Formats: sequence, structure tokens, C-alpha cells
Amino acid sequence: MNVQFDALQTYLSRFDIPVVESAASSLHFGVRITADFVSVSPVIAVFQGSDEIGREYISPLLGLRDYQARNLGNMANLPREHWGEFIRLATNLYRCYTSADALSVQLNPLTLINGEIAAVGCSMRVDESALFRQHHFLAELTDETYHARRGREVGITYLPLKGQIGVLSNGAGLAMATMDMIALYSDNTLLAANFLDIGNDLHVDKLTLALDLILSSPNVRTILITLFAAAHCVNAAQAILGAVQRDTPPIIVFLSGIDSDHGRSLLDGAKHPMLISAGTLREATRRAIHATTTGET
Amino acid sequence: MSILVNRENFVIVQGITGREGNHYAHEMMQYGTNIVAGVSPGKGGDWVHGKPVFDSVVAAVDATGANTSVIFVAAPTASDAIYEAIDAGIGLIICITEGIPVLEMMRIREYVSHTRTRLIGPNCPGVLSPAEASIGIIPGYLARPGKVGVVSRSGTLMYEIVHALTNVGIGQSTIIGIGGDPILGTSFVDVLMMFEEDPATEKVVLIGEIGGRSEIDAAEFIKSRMTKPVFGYIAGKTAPHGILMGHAGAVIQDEKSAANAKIAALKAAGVRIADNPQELPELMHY
Repeated sequence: MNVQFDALQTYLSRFDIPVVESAASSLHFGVRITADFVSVSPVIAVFQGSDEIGREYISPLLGLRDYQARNLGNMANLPREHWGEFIRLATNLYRCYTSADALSVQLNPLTLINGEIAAVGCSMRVDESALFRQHHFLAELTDETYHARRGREVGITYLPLKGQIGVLSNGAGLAMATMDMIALYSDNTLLAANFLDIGNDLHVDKLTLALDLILSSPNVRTILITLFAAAHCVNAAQAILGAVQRDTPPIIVFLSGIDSDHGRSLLDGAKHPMLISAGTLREATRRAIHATTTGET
Repeated sequence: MSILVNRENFVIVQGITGREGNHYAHEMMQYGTNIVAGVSPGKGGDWVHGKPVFDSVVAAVDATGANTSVIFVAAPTASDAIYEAIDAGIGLIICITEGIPVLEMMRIREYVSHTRTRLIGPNCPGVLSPAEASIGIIPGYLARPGKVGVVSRSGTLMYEIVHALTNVGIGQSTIIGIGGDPILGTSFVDVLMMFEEDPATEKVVLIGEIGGRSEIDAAEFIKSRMTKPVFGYIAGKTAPHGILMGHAGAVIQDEKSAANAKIAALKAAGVRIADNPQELPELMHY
């Protein structure tokens, strides 16, 4: 999640990092700290445009050491008399990075004003997993769509995509696999219209909302439901039947887990004209593709 | 036979008085796992499913000799629960909790690397050795004893593949969900190394997805060190770049973290890759 400029400028000022509105930059480099998933540590780097000049790996337990900031100032050809000031800036930036639970924070370019280093531009991305302790950034969730937010509030992860077949799964991996099956069995002529992970507990209200989210996209011509229902196949089938409207595009359901035969017979027994079940992922996907191209189940 | 989890694990459940902890403690006991106690700060002295509840991990370890912990506590306090288990000398920690901040996980990884503790997860379904023990939330009825080791970043996708293996009579030695986060205590390579050493494992199934480079690291390890055949499935071929697909770790940041790059690297290492996860058993020729 990106923090907007005004909010970020205020936030940085709490860490004594001035952001100035000046086009002229006397220092021709920037500094950034990012979470590096390869080394599993924060990395601080100085850079010029897209070229990195140098980097130091920060121990997440110890924090940034003065020598690391000094080395970077040296590598960026910062005159010696400003090394102390650069260490102060880098240390404050690391404090800001940890306080905000940032995934990345960047000051670029930097400029010298009366012996003090200031940023001309800045950006910061915050870890959404940390929002439980970063409430002040909740207002920044502006890049989230209305539908994605409605889903998140009840534990549904919904992302609109560009294809024609709506996907409803439990589990991120199974949802991605279902998307991939659509491309595989249609020779890439059809794609998923969305990613949707409904999470653990399946009940009518949640399924109703999930179908609502899927149908919010005007491209959806068919819905493919793939649930690994584990111990709840009968419950899952009942929840699906409770949530499906009379007037719906074709829905193809693949249920797997305990009592899946019973779950399937419940679905088939309902004799809903637009709802059919399938015994395998391949069969379910093929039927969804057929329904999309012909408009019939 | 198995890796990591067997009858010798004496397990405490951190968060046993919560809804999930309570439910899965019972499921694990039903499977035959040696659950010896629960930990819930402020609830010491209670009993859950006939097991004593302690206020701290160290008190639970002193009283029961526990060597393993499974963590169900909510994300805001989960990192503290992990440190507490490490400091109490727990040898194997399995963290089910989803949503621990990246910065916390970086600190935990550095801290745990100076100890003898192995951490699995977070944001994982746990570890199950069929007919021996289950630590976590993997549905026990899916598995049957056998000689295929299974390791996955995803939960329900792994269940579906284990189910498919069991349906055609292919049993498993151990099933491990390493977790869907970008920073994990245990990697594919760590688990492949254990399966390679385990005399009871003949073949390995690896279930990966987009994001990070743990499948690329796995491919390098398989190519240079692994003698046992590996079979795989990678999810997310049609996922768009730069968008988080449900799991905190499932995002294509660059070409190397895309599904096709991972599939190519694994194939080059001799791994047979299924197009359809449910049809993976057909590659195995048992």
C-alpha cells in the first residue's frame, strides 16, 4: 500500500526528515531502504536514476550501523564534511522504515540546504499485514477497489481480472490453479474474470457476497466454483444452493472432500437449470468453457 | 517412517483456548498426536480436552517435557509466541497464524538462526506424517502411509493433490505445508534435503506458486544434490504481474518469480511437471 505524498511528508517530519519543494537538487543521488526477501533483511542503497551506486544489508535485530551509512555516503561521492549529516539522515530514515512497518521508503533526489540534507521527492510503501498496529495508515488504502474492500471485510480475497469465467475457490493456490486450468483447456482463448479466495468457513451469506462480487464484472459469462470443502461438502452444497439466484449465468461446481458424493447429489438433485456439478477439475473446467462459448450448461 | 513429525513429538498448543486452537487441538488428538498441554497467558490452571493449560511456554515445558509447539494465536501476538517458544528451548515450532508483518519475520529469522530451533511457517497448514501424527490443520483423512514426500507453499491445493495421490493408492511419508508468506522459517530446499536423507521417502512432490525464488533455489538443489525423483505443480501461470494473489508471498515481482520461469528451471533439473494438479499422480508410474 502506497502512502500519499502529503501524508508521507507529515510522517517524515516526525523523524526530522525535511521534504522541500525545490526542483534544483545539489546532490545527484537518492537513498532508499527496502525489505529484501532474498537476504531476509532490510537493504539500504544509494542510487542515481536506475543505477544503484552501493548497498548495505541491515541486521533487522541490530539496526543500521553508522559505518554502513558512512560507506554509502562515501560511495556516492558525498564530501567528507557531510558524512555526519548523511549518517543522521540514514539513521532517521531507518527509524521511519521500522516505525511505519514499511516495505520500502525512498528519498530521491537529495539536496543540501544550509548544511542539512533534505529530500526533494519521497515515496513509501507500507506492509498491509501490519495495519493492525498502523491504524493511521488505514486511510491510505485508496488503491483498493470498492468490491475488494467489501470482500476483505468478511475474509474474501477478490481481484478483478480481464477474462470471461468467474472463479470461486477456497485457498489462494487452488484459485490460481483454477485460473490456469481455464487457459489450459481453452488453449488460451478464455481466461479467468477474477481471482477469488473465499477462505475457510463457507456459509450462505459469504457465498452470496462472493457471487455478487464475481457478477460485478460485466465480462462474466460463466462461473466456475472449485471448493476443497474438506469436512463440509454437504454444508458447502447447501450454502451454494442457498446463494445461487434463479437468474444467473451458468455455474459449474467441483466439490472435493468428505461426503463429496452426497454434496454433488444435493447439487444435482436441486435441478437448478443453470447449475451443474462435475467430478474432476478437468471436467468442471471443460464444462465451464463449453458453457461460455455456447451459453448453455 | 517420516521426517519432522512422528510419535516422538510431545506437542503444546499455543492459543489452545481460542476457537481455532481449541478445535484443532481436538482434531490432532483424534489423529493420535501426542498433545501434552496448552498455553494461554492468563488461563493457566484451566483444562482443555483433558490437557492442562499453562500461562507460559516455559512452565508447560517444565511440567510436560514438550519438544514441539504449534501456534494458533492471532497475528498481533504471534511473533511474541514464536520468541517465547524459541526461548523455552522448543525444538520444532509450527506457526499456523497468517498475517505476521514482514519486519517481525525478518527479526524472527535472524533470531532463530542463532538457535537450534526449527520454525515451519508462518501462514502454513502444518505437517502430517500419515498414521503417525499431525501437527497443524491438514485434514487427516486425506492421507495414507506410503513413500512419497509432499511439500507445498499452498494449503488447499496441497490437500487436493494429496487426495488425488491417495485415491490412486499412492501413500505419503510426510506432508509439509511450508507456508504462503514471503519470509518462511523453512524453505523448499530445507525440506528437500530432509526427504533426500529419509530412507522412507522414495519420491517427492513439490507444489509451488508464483512469487519469490524458492522454486528456483529448489531446482538448483535438485539438479546438483538430489537423487530421488521429484514431481511438481506450479500455480499462477495466468496470474498478472505485480498483483498479490491471496498469499502474501504470491506476487510476480520479476521474470524469475513468474510461473513459467520456475517451471522451466524445475524441468531443466529433471522434475516432471503436471499441467493439472489433479492429474499429477499420472506422472508417477506407481
